[in-house]
Amino acid sequence: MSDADLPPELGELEAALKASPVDGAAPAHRARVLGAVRNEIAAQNSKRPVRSFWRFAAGAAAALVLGCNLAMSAANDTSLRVGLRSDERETKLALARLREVLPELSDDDAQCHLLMLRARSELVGTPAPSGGSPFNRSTEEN
Amino acid sequence: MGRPADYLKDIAAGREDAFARLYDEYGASLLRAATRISRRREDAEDAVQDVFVALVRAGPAALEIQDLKAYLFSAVHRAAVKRAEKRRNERSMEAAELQTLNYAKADAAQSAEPAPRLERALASLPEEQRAVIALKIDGDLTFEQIAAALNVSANTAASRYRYALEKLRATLEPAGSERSAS
Repeated sequence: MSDADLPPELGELEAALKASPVDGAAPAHRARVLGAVRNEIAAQNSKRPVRSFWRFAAGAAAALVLGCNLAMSAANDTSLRVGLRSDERETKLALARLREVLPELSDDDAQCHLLMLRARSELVGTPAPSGGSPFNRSTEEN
Repeated sequence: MGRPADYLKDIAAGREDAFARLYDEYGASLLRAATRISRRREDAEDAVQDVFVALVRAGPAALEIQDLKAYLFSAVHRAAVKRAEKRRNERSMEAAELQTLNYAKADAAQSAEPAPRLERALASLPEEQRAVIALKIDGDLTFEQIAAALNVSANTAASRYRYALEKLRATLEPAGSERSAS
């Protein structure tokens, strides 16, 4: 529908509405709106560096965690053979001490004892499957 | 008058002078439309301010606006309706009626007859009809633009406009005929 479709009396009313002196913008309102705009622009500008800082911090933290994981994973999977050399030194020292205590032991026996002692020292403590163990409860009750 | 694309670039960049130019071009008509929709000058001023602040917040998203004028009037319509609703919730219906009367009285004090009578009659229309009148008369929008702003079809916008004008004429006629009779 265009204005031309309106009957003349409605067209006149439309013209009267267009000419109606409803107040437009006042200078005070302009100043108020532009003041609000200025404040909002300042607020937006002050938010931007903070937002970018946190974005950077989050990115850096994520990169650090990833790097740590990768480094630990690589370190665990890499045999640097450093331990072996120290093992060799310790083995010789331990064998010498064993010989001091038990001079009658042959080289093979001394090494065998050493291996057994080492094996015991690296055992992980586990609860004994007896006494208060839940696995044996039924047998204890019986 | 600058090209809307130029405005939008400056607005998206948060340049204050772009908002000043925008206000100088559309401020008065936006305020008139908002006053007709909300029926209160105070709410209308707040609504226009809301639109400008929202545009600052939009930032680079403002570049996506296709039709700046239609966007502004659509936004001011929403803001004015929201302000009016808020006002209605805050006050009783009786107080709201009093405010409408005050608005009309203030208008009458500011301008000569018959404009206040016309504005009073306009204020008595339902909100959806007032909105169409405001967007058409103050915004000079096409019915397609009004339809997009009000989320109705262009035919509905056009028929609402015609009903609103007919209703206004019917409201004004008795007084007019009395005057001509006397």
